[in-house]
This record gives sequence, C-alpha cells and structure tokens, in this order.
Amino acid sequence: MPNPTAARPRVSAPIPYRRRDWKRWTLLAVYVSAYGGFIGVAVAAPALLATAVIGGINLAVVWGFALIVLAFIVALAALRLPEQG
Amino acid sequence: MQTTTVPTDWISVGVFAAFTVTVLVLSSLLGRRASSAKGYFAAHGQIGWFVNGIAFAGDYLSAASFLGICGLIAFWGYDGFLYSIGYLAGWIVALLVVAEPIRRLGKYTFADALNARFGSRLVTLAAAISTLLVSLFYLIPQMVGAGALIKPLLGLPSWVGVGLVGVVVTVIVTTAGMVSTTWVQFIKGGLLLSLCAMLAALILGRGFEVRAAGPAREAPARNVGSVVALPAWAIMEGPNGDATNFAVDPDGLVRTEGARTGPLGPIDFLRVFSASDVAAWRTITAKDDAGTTHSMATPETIRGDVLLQPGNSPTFRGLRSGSMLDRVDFVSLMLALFLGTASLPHILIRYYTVRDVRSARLSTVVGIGAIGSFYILTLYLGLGAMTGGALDTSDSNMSAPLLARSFGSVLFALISSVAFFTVLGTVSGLVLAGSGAVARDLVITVLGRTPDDRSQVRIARIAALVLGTCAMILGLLCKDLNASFLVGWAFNVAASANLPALLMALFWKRATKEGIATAIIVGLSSSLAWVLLSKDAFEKVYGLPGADAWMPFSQPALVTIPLGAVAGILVSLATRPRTPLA
Repeated sequence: MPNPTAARPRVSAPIPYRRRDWKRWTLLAVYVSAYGGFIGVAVAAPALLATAVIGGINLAVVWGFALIVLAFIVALAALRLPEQG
Repeated sequence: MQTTTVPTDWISVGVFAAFTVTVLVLSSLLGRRASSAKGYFAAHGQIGWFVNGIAFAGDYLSAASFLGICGLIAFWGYDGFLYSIGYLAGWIVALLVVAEPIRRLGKYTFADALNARFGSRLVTLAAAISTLLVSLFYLIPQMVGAGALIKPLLGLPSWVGVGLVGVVVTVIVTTAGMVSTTWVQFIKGGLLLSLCAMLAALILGRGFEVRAAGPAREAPARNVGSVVALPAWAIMEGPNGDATNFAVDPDGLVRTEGARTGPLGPIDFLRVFSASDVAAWRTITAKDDAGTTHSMATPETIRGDVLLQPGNSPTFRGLRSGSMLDRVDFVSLMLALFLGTASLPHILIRYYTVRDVRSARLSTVVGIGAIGSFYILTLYLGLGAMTGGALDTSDSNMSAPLLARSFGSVLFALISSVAFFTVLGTVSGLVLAGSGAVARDLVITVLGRTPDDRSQVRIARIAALVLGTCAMILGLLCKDLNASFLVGWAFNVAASANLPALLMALFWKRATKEGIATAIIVGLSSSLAWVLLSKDAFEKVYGLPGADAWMPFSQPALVTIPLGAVAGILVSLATRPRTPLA
C-alpha cells in the first residue's frame, strides 16, 4: 500500500556491488573466519580450548582476547576503505 | 528462602543523588534544543564522532554487559566471557555492512532506512512493530538490573529501583530527546570505562589470597568466594613477607590460610588463577515435605583452568555433555550475538546523530575501541568477584558492585551509581527508539499522513511516557532473571526480525516492499514464539519443567534468521514487478 504523503524515497536501487568493495568483504571474511573458527572449535573439539598456549594461559582465553583485539584492528583498517555505495 | 535487610549506605545515597540530579539538570538545560523533530530524534545530526563513539559505548554497555556478564563470570567463569566476545563481534557487522548505508538512507528511525527504496506504509508498520517489540524485550533486563542495584545501594526494595529508573528516564527522554540521551550516554560510557579500569587495577594490585571456603549455608549466602589453594611458585609474600611460612602440598599447591600472591600483572593474574583451586558457589534448591522451598549455597572446589573454559554454566554445559541439541543451542546464541548488534533499533538510530558517513564510520571505530576495552576488563572483574570474598550467592547481578564494596564504601558508591547510570543511559536509548517508532512510523501508517514537526515531538513524548511505564511493569515481573541471559533473547529476536529485511533492502535489487515486510513479520513472530516456548522460558520464567517445552533448544536465531530471509526472498520473487527495475 503506497503512502502518498511519505517522504519521497531518496534512492531507487539497492547499494550496488563494486569491485573496489573487495577489501571490505575481505575484512568481514577475516573476522567471520576467526569468530566462526572459535565457535567451531568450542563445539567440535572443546578440549582443544583447554590447551595452555601462552604463559600457561589456555587457548580459550587467548582466542577470546584475540577476537576482541582483532575487532579493533579490523575497525582501524576499515577507516581506509572507500565509502560504501 | 530467607530475606535480608540491607542498611542504607549514606555515601552511596549522596553519590547516587548527585548523579541523578546532574542528569536531570542536564536534560532540562538541553530541552530547548529538542523542540523540533530533527532535534528530538537525531540531535540535529550535529554530534561529533568522538562523542557519538563513546555514546555508542554508553548506549550499548547495558546492565547486561556490566552486571550480567560480571555476574556470570563470577559464578561460572569463562561462560560469561562468551557474551563479551559475541557482543563485541557484532560491531564488525555494524561497521562493515550497515553503518554507512543506514546513515545515508535513514532520517530518524529504523523504518526510515528500511523504507528508503519503497515509501511503503506496510514496511513502515512492520518495522515499527519490530522496533517496539525488540526495544521492550531489551528493556526488561535493564529494569531487572535497576531493581537489583537499588537493594544494596539504598537499602530499598527492588521495585523502588525500577520505579526510579522509569521516572528519571521518562524525564530525560521527554525533555530533550536524543540531545540529552546522547550526553547522558557519553558521560555514562566514560565513567563506566574509567571506573572499571580502576577496579581492575585494584584487583590486580590485591592479587589472590587463600581463604577457607567455609561450609554450605542457607542461601542467600553473602561474603563468599575465595581461592582455596594457590600454586606454590605464585606465592610472593606471606603476612610477614616470608613465603617460606607456607607449607607446600605434594601437588605443588599452598592451602595455608592467609597465603597471598601480592600484586599481579594482567597475564600473571590469569596464569595464577588457572593453576589455583577456586571455591565456586552453587545453590541447590529443594522443597521439603511441607512444600516449603529451601536453598542451600555450597562451595565446590574447581581448578581455575577448568573455570577458564566454556561449558561450566547450565546455559553452556551442553558443550561438554556431547548433546547435539545443546551444541546447536550454543551456535545459535553466538550467531544471534554476532548478527544482533547490527539489528538493534536503538543502536542504529545513533547513526543519524552524526554529520556524515565518515563520522558514522569514525564513531563506530571509537565505539569498538571503548566497548572492546570494557569487555576485556569484564574477565578481570568477574574473576576478581569470584575470588574476592564478596559474592552474594542469591544474586549474580550484584557481583560487580559487591566486588567494589570489598575495596571500600566510596568505590562501592561510585560503581553502584555508575551502574545505575548505565541502566539510565541504555533505557533512554531504548525508550527514544520506541517513541520514534510510535510518533513517526505508527502514526504515519494509521493516519495516512505525516504529522507536523511539533506534533511528532509531542506524540513521541507521550509514547516515551507509556513505554517507560511498560518497562517498569515488565522489570518487576522478571526481577529474578539474569540480565545477560535476557539480553541474549533480545539479540535473537532483533537479528531474526530486522537483519534479513535490512540486508535485502540495502543490497538486493529484487527485494519488494511485500518481501521486506514478510521478512520482518516472519522473523519477529517465529523468534518470539520460539523463545517463549523454549526450555529456558519454561524453567526460568514460568517455573515449569523444562521437559515440557515445545522447542528442541532455547536460542532460535539459527532457525529463525534463515526462516525470515527465505520468507522475504520467496515473497519478493512472487511479487516482483513485471517491468525491470530502474
């Protein structure tokens, strides 16, 4: 049901995929891989997360901290991306 | 279960009163700037990116993040930290996928951006209903947190805390809308981060001390939580500065009461915790022959490295049980946390408060830095609460404030007041998002025309009043549930209802208004029905046996996000125009 008095749509088409956007989707893929990998290990091989990796601290803690730090690194990298759309 | 009376702490009352008065004065001073719709809903789009970034943190770091996560870590270890990881990860989706289009397409509400291509009343109506329901769902844990705080803070019953938040938030939102909400969230975000960093530094400075766990006792048991054995190599000083006073057991652990590590660095803190034996308190509830319920709090000695793995809490125990459904439940929750942030209306409308797309991006980066730093601190706060001898076994939400109390009444007063402030900031954002959905989206749909500028603001203020009242009622009804647990559900509903529709509207050229509305309605109704018929709802909300639940697992996102997407795609294809789109 159209709304004749609604604000006039400011765009008529969705945001197009552009070749220069590959860096954006690569960053997303990197983070999804790290996050998905963590979930996958927690589900499929939870004992692996108990492995001490750095200074007696287990993989669960190290991976968790790494995901938080990686989010910030990805955010900083995103500042250099061209504007979307 | 016995009830306890908490004496009023007058330092806390003073700090709390000062904070509340500051917020109210700020709102009244800023009220003039919010008389127009652009001022009320979007702070004229003139908020600087740094202020907006910290306000993002103030908006997002809710009672669930502060009280709920710290409580979960204090009782169950790493499982609470899983929420920290998931909540932060969601910001990557917000930054890389939705931030810039939302800023460019939207104006005041979530529906504005979603409907930019279509100008459809159907889409507006669906998005408004979704915004209202998601905001209400998210409001519940905030109000629960407010109720939990008021007991130790002012010695008043929880309904007073819920009522206070409801009244103050209503004043904040109705007087100055997004202008005052932004500044309240900015101040709250800065204070929360600073005080939590200070608290974490104090925890590291105190290190660990061996204390007897003590016997089981009737719940609520207060002032419990201890390290019952420290690794010998970690002992740095005894009461007399002489480490040799402590007998070392054959397993390399020191169990002498009073043995302490002294100050520890952030890595050493986790290393010593991992190698120590910790008394984790568990509460067992049973009914006697007369039908009276009794709760007993019992210390259970668990190795630190076990507590620093997922799978200790009832929510995540399935990771170790081998049950496929429990693992699916875990994956579904983590998916909801990842996709939920970019679907929360009260977060999305903050993109309208900055000048341009670049500012939207910069403010998200500041937000991720602030929020990420806070979530790293949650692990130290939670473990500090678990071992600091200041837990209340009957209320996990109080772990962080009680931890602060173990460092003195001034810090307790500050932390509790900031926690209360935390609730104010988030609830203000939620009420604002909900009132915008009513004033702009629902009214436009019902009236068939856009009210004038002042009418929109007037309707939004009335809607804020009603939403504040609803939040108070819901907070009282759900006062015994863990805040973070409830927010998990809100993320499921938000991600299921909003994300498929948002992605379709932003990126898929064949999407139609019917498809978008269908994606919202199917995602919203299916996820709501799922959580309300889940095992967790049966056990923790209705008090019924979990075995009677209708749904095979409790977190619906894994099913209901694809369900909404498929429904939206099919309806879009079925209703696509015959002529090619421009």
